[in-house]
Amino acid sequence: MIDRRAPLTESPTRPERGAAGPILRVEHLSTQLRTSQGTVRAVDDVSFELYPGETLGLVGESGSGKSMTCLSILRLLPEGIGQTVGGRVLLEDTDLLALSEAEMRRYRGRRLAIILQDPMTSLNPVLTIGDQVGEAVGLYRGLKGKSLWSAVAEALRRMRIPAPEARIHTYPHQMSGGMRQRVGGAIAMAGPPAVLIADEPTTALDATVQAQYLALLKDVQRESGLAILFVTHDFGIVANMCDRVAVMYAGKIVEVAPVRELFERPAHPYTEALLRSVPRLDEDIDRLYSIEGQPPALHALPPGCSFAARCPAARSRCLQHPPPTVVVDAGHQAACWKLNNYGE
Amino acid sequence: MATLEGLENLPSRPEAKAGRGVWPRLASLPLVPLLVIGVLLVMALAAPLLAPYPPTEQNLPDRLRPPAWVAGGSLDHPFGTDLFGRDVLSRVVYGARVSLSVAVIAILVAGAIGTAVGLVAGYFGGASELVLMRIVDAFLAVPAILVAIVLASTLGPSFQNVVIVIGVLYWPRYARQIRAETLSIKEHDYVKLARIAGCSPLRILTTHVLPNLVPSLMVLASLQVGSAIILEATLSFLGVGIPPPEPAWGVIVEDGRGMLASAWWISLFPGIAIAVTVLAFNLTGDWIRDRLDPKLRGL
Amino acid sequence: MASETPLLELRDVKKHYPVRGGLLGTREIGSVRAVDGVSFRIGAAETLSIVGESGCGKTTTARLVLRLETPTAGTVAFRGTPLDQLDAAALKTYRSSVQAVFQDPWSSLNPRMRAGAIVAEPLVVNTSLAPSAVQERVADLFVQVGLRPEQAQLYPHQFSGGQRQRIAIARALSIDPQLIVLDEPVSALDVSIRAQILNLLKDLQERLGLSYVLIAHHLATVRHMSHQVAVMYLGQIVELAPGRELFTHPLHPYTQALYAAALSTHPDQKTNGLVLSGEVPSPLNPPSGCRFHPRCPYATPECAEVEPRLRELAPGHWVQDCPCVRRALAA
Repeated sequence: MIDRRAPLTESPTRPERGAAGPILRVEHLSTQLRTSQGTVRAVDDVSFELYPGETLGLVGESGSGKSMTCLSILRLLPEGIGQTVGGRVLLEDTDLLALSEAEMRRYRGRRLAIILQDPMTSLNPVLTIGDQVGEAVGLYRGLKGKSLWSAVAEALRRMRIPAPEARIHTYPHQMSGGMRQRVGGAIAMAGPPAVLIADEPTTALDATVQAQYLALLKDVQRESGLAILFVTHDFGIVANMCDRVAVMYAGKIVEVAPVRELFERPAHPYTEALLRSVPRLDEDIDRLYSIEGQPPALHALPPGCSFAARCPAARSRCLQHPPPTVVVDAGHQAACWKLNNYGE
Repeated sequence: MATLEGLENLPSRPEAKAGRGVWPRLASLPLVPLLVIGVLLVMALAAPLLAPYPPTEQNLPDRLRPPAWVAGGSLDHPFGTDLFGRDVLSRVVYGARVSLSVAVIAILVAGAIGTAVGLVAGYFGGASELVLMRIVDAFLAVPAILVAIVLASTLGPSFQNVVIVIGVLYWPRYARQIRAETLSIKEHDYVKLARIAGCSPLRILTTHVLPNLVPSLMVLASLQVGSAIILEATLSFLGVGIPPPEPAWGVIVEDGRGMLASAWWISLFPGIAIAVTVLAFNLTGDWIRDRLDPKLRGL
Repeated sequence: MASETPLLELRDVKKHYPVRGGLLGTREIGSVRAVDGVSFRIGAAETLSIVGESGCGKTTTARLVLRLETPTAGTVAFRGTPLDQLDAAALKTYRSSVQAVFQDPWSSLNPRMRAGAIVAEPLVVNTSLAPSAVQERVADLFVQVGLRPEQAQLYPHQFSGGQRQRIAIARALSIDPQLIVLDEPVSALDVSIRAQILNLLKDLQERLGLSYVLIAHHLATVRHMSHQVAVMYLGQIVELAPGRELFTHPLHPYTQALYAAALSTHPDQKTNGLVLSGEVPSPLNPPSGCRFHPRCPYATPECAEVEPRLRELAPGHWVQDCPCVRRALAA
């Protein structure tokens, strides 16, 4: 274990691929939210990199800031309530946060796509599938007329939607949840995007449909070299989809690691506790390991480590001083006092 | 729009004072409308103390005096006098009492009937819903003003009859809204759990459904009081509402109708009073609705 | 299981909802067969889990157990007595013996009632205990579910999701039920809270001898909590087995597919094949013969003809003996 006190949120770099740089680089991103209990830092000094062709999992529970991070990257924060107050988001060397709204619109949906959790509300119920996919394809590729419709059918076919030519004239309510998510995927891939942000796209789907959808995403990624930022709270999805994982807690990233590393040698006590508390399909456990307490109230965060109040390894230092980021191994970092001996 | 999961699920402070989440802080209250309503209430309750003259006292030598700031007026009659020398200010002040009480009582009556009908139709459904809602539809299909005038003329002008007319006209609006809300509340798990616990339908309606209807009731009521005041004024204006010499605002407006060019002040001040009152109630209703809506979404 | 009378037994229960069409909406043009011949038994201090995807009928089955609906055919029997033979008083006793906890902690509690009143309500409605006795019991229940008695004064919005589920559990416990229907009790909670609630439920089962009907889609949770597991598809049980056995020896192709679809918990453990094609068909028009055959990777033409029946192919292990299963067993 390399023990080095690195600057607080230096973004972790991938050890292998030297040649191709990251396609998305988030640096010291911070976002504030106005709530009824005051202003909170929903995203606090978050940094990470996303490389082409890889899937980075963003894992956390409610209040961790993972959805807010995505909204901040896309600049889709609720008006008047959310505001990005610092940092840069570099998509192929362009800082998205510095663009005007008009310029941002050329990136959003085109180079930077998103698929969302709720298939019911992601699609407009009064427009046909063809109209909605056509809107994206037409806009981003400048197609019209017949070439537009064949491109739409192709986009649907790519998402393995059966009988695409017929589907063009159907409405969202005539399709199942799994199909709707595929349509959402077709719209997202219209760009074609360099980066896809997937915000819990399978949470509302049945298990077998979820399995199909994830397999589809992986194939699409393999064919197109797409980089995916996959937001989830489900470690099963992480194990199956992700190459690297960033774990968030109370608005901060607490650990980043390659996926195998994360499952076998989790460095941060929160990650470790989470992994241990999930019931397993392949073994019998009498009593699940559970983390004491509840996720923290963001408006009343303690001065030190946000997880300290629930941490089995916490000491007084943890309660008073925010933890440093410690490099655990190649590509593996965690923000925890325990990892560098509580500062002694 | 991505999920605002992080926003909605921010855990609330566990030890906050009970009930604090629902009531607003002083700064966010709609102060001006509430102030206006407060003034009106005071006017209504303390009319004898506030009005400089009895509203029906005639003073023929002093008739048709203009308001104080116009040539010919005096501070004895700040809003001027009418055809019979009655002080307009006093009549407007007393009018608050009549108009407000008519509107409030009528809306309470309409609310009670409409809520009961809406609750039964919404909760029990089936035949009762079918029958009740068709009755509601029938009532709503007829133009309100027409019914009001016909009914009022048939019953004759009096305080009770105006209350009846307004009640009859407004209960269907309540019923429809309350039925829709009841249907939505019925789907919440806590209603199902109440059935599972063995609660009688009456208990479910009074303990579980009705208290959760209160926000909507408040909004509806405040918005409807405004309408009721206008309706009463209209009826009184047409002579089928509050009978003279009671100084309902509509009556005063009617008094000045024939003299709008010459003695404009007689109709103007009660007219302003009506407009201000209705606006105040509407703004308060809107504020209540906005205030309670996001909370309701989370519940 | 033991030969004594089971606590709860369903015998060939069916629930069909008529679909009306025609000019005045009075003609019955079809029916949604939400539950189409379900049978199982639960003993004391046991958990039976029902797993399946949307449209399989598990929610309707729960409603039938809770008597929120009455079956179109078949019987629901409590301690040997069919429910439709109970008079009003006995039915009331049934109600107080069977309680429920639902999925959504936000919708399960009346936002206008204090937590203590919510927990006390079943007591108030079903017993004639003095208010002080009720208060004592409520305080005791709060402690049992891991909350503090002082919190009875608070309103639901002042609690977190996990705490609200605890209140819901306390309420379900208040009149000493023998069976609790748990409909996805932890799905809406944060991952770190789920373990707390699952442990609590298991503890309560041990301490109070409670039986559970657990509806869940997370197979690992089901494995952790259950003594018996029933897999439902389009209104029927396709496999019913003791908990561990279902996951170590799933016999029906649908169970195997569900198991494969349950994502592995380690990156190196890749799931093995059997990704199902197609979508779950609508219960309005179920496929002929074996309902699963359009999606079954082993299906033969014979499968569309014969309706398979549930048979005990191993002790306590019931499976629909369709041709595919028989072939697999013979091999």
